[in-house]
Amino acid sequence: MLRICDLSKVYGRTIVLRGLNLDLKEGTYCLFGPNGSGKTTLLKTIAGFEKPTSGRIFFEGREITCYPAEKIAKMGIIMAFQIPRVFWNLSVEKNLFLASKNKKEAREVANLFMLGEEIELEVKKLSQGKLKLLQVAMAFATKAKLLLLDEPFAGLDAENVRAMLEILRELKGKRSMIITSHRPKLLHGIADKFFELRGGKIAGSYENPF
Amino acid sequence: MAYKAILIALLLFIPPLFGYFATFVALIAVLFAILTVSWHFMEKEAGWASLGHSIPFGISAYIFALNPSLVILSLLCSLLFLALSLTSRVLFPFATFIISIAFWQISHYFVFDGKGGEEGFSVLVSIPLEIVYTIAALLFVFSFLFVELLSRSNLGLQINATRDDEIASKSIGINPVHLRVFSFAVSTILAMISGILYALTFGHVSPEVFSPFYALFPFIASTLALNKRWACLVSSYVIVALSHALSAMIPEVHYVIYATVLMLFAVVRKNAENL
Repeated sequence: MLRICDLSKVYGRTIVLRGLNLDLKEGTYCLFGPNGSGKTTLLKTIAGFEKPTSGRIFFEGREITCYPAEKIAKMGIIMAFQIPRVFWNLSVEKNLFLASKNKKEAREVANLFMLGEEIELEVKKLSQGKLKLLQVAMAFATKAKLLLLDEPFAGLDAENVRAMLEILRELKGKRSMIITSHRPKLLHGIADKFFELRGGKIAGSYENPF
Repeated sequence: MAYKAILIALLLFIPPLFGYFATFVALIAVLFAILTVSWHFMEKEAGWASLGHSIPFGISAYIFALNPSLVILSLLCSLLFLALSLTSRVLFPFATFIISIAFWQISHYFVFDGKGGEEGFSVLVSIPLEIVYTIAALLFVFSFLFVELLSRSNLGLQINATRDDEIASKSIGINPVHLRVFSFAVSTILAMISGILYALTFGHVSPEVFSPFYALFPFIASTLALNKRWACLVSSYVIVALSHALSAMIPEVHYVIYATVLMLFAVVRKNAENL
């Protein structure tokens, strides 16, 4: 489904990704590693928000390296950012409608993601936890084949972490996902495979222990 | 909703009943209201606040005076806005204002066929004022309804979305540049209509059309309208009527009006939130 060949990304003198290779079939994957290991940069590069310094990315056999983000999104790769990027002055329903392009589906997704009660509310009035859920909901609503979820648990309290885990369990099997997290243990019941990213390279991997 | 429609209808239908001068002042207010609706769409819906709407306004007026068949060329102003938008949303108002000032200065030296310069050009087409007023009133209603319907459509929602966050738009497959070009084109067309009506009203176009008075008018009128689209006609009437009434006593009184509106801006904005 996704093949990354010899991907490198350099910011000035800082090498963030060093000849990274990855070949993923459909499924759920967890990328973990310390701060600065290149997790977010990798996701942004796949999604077209960063241009790689070198290397190639293929999605379903088609090369998508250096494609603009909106084109990659249309092809079926959607990224949910660590700090939610949503439409602040629009309601939850309109945010979901923009993603799904269908009012009925927008409402269904809102209910699935526990946002049913807030559907009429302006997004800027949502709590941090609900914002995170909304962003994942928007990614899901697009019917993308691959969701790139950057630190979906960051900044969430225990209750919202549980809600997010429930959602991710629900999504498993319906969509392929690459999830970055500082806490890979949280995803032990969800991800099929875990990749450790260190110094811009895949330092190791293991299968779901459960 | 009904009282807004009634107020707009009264402002459009009553002035011609009071003779030539009232129609003339009302016509200026209506054509500026179209310019304000054009500006309001670009600022409120698309999030690009221009302080250089005198550029499409003035250019269309100039081209219409020189050769009406070429007036469509003023659409190229949307490309100028697009180029200026590369500066960023924050710098865009300043960039457009500076360019409008540049146009103002350059237009003083623009001579064609031995005419122009500071004197400007006479408009070749002449239409009776009453007919121009009727056309202007109809075009205002058309502009208002068009923008209103557009802003309520799916396309309008996408334009609002890119206004809020371009990265979020890209992440769900919306191309913000396409929407920006579209928004600028719509706004330019409406400003173009306003410019042509201006040329028809005065029968003469001079470098004044690029002056800060015209560049700032839609911003001030929109502020005075508490950022409500329907109230743009009311605020245009207020500014134009006050300018005409007081200009004999205070030279350049429109700048005094502008300053007053800006000073009251904070209060006006608070009231707008409560409406």
